[in-house]
Amino acid sequence: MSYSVKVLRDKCIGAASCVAVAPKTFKLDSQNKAVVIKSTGDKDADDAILLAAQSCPTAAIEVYDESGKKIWPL
Amino acid sequence: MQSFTARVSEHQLIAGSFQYLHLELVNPDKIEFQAGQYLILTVEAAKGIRRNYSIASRPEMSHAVELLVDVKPQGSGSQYLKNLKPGEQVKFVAPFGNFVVQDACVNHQLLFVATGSGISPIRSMILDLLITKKHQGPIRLWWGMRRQEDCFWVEDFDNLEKEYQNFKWDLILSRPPKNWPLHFGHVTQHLIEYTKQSTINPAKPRTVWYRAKRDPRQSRDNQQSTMCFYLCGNKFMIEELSTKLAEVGINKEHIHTEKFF
Ligand SMILES: Cc1cc2nc3c(=O)[nH]c(=O)nc-3n(C[C@H](O)[C@H](O)[C@H](O)COP(=O)(O)OP(=O)(O)OC[C@H]3O[C@@H](n4cnc5c(N)ncnc54)[C@H](O)[C@@H]3O)c2cc1C
Ligand code: SF4
Repeated sequence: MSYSVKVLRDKCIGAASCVAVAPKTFKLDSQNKAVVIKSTGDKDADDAILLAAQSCPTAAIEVYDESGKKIWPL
Repeated sequence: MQSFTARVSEHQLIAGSFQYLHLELVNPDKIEFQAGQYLILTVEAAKGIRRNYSIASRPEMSHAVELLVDVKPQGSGSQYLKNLKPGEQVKFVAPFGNFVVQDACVNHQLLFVATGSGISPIRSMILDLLITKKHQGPIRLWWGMRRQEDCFWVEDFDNLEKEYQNFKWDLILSRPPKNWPLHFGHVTQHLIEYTKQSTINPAKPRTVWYRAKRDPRQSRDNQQSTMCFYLCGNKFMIEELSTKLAEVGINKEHIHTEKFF
């Protein structure tokens, strides 16, 4: 993954659609909020990460490109 | 996950703010999914805006998908779907989600609870269980709607109930008209009451329809462990009901949820 992501915890309702779309990037914690998986192993493709963010029902995921520019939400 | 192009072959306002869409697949022309899964629809391609919609049809119909959408929120997704006309093309990726009947649940009583458009994936699951899989175990549905004029698919579920003895359903209106003869209030209270009743006293008349499947000597714990819940709709109903089910002793592993908003 070259994109980086941030979950806005207050907005997250734990709908888990991000987990369904990009399971190597997001997981739900014990409070049913999405958190970013810190992993050095297998990663989701950038387009899956962007799709996960674009399909989040509460726009709780921000996506940044390699240069640190926010690409979602616009 | 796969990208699809589909053509709107039918679009109807079926009641209140609820719209039904039949999308005939163009490319590819077949889809494989599990009942209860959803698709991610492109709503505004240029802006990257997408929305999730559960598939209301059963997987056996692989050449098309049906959607049931509540356009009340009036956001980009609602506007886009409301204005789609037969013949127009749409793009989506699918399938997604784990809100599917788990193998571990198939020998249990299956209890489905929907509010509003949350009926969409549950319709797919119930049709798949009854018609495709010829499931014999007890299936029960509670569907919470606001007003009588919002209701649709009532006759369809009534017909299923007549045809399949193992299926029973209740419509619950939160704002019923005067002299409404059926259930009213919130689905939560009805389900909790039912869960308590059927676990404490399985021989009560309301539970007669599946009594043959159960041993009245079972302990309360055993009976509760034979129930699997599938909840779909708004997060308030899901969170409240999940908490209350846990309070009456239902194991978390037996509660499956899909939050729409
Ligand atoms: C996994 C999943 C499956 C879904 N499946 C369906 C489906 O089958 N049918 C369907 O109609 N919707 C479904 N939704 C909801 C759908 O994705 C959109 O959120 C909904 O259509 C609103 O989109 P919008 O762009 O019109 O409004 P937005 O601008 O996105 O939302 C406006 C506001 O309305 C709220 N809202 C969203 N839905 C509702 C609602 N039904 N009633 C009241 N307020 C609402 C939102 O929380 C937000 O505050 C699903 C959501 C998820 C996460
Ligand atoms: S899709 Fe959005 S709301 Fe749902 S868990 Fe992920 S971040 Fe939270």
